[in-house]
Amino acid sequence: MRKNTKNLLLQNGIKPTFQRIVIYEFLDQNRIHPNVDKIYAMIHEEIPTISKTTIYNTLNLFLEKNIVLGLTLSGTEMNYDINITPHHHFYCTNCGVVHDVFISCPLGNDKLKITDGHLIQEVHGYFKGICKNCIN
Amino acid sequence: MITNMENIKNLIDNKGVKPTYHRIKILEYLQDNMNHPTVDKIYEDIVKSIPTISKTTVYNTLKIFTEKEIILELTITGNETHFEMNDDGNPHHHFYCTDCKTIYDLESECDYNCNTKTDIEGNKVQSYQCYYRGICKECLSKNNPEIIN
Repeated sequence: MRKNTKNLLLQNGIKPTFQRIVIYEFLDQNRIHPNVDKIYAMIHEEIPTISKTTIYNTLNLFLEKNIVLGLTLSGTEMNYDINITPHHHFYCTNCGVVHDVFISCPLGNDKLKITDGHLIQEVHGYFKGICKNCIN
Repeated sequence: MITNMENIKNLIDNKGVKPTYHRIKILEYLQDNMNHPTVDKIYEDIVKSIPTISKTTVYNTLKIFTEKEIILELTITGNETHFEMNDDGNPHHHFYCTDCKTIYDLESECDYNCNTKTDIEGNKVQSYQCYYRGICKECLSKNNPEIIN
């Protein structure tokens, strides 16, 4: 596992430090669209010397290199998603959980498309409402 | 003759919100400024004409307007919320230029009609936003003209 992550980081031009590998693997194993605080709280248990700044910097680097996706659906903070294949998201206003929803979006599958003269690199579809767990 | 102010007053009243002077002024500002302002921008501009208004009032008013779907909040940038009038008759997507940080209204709509969905995989949908991120035509023509051609 560690070796695969190391290669993935290297392939994307990122120096595979121990902390970066741990953060990437955390996102890979916890597909809950965590925010920085959540990532810090959970990784800090394993690596007590890690700083929040390192987490921030690492996530920004991952965003820049397009190996994670930053979700802006809550409006107050960024949520991180390791699944960079195009899909939409559903935010439950009751429990605050972000769910993946898989509806086929013709635009989302068509990266680097020009629309109204703009070059589109990412498509984000955000639904808000009450999730099925809260309805029941 | 009905003035614009009365129109706005009626719009607020019809949504079950008490049309106070501050609320009318804030909505009037959003109607006149379609450039997706942030709370700070709205406050800075309105405080010039109403020196007694507080930022809390602006925040609270925007929150009520959003709840009542009079305005829409755009969370496209990831660090600040931007606001615009909810134009029910003309829903549109937004484009955020990661280079110059401008938010554009898109004329082209995707034809998948996500905004009409009420149920997705058992989840009850109340609102929908679609955001596109990339490089806008102005920045493209400045830095990468070859992509357009």
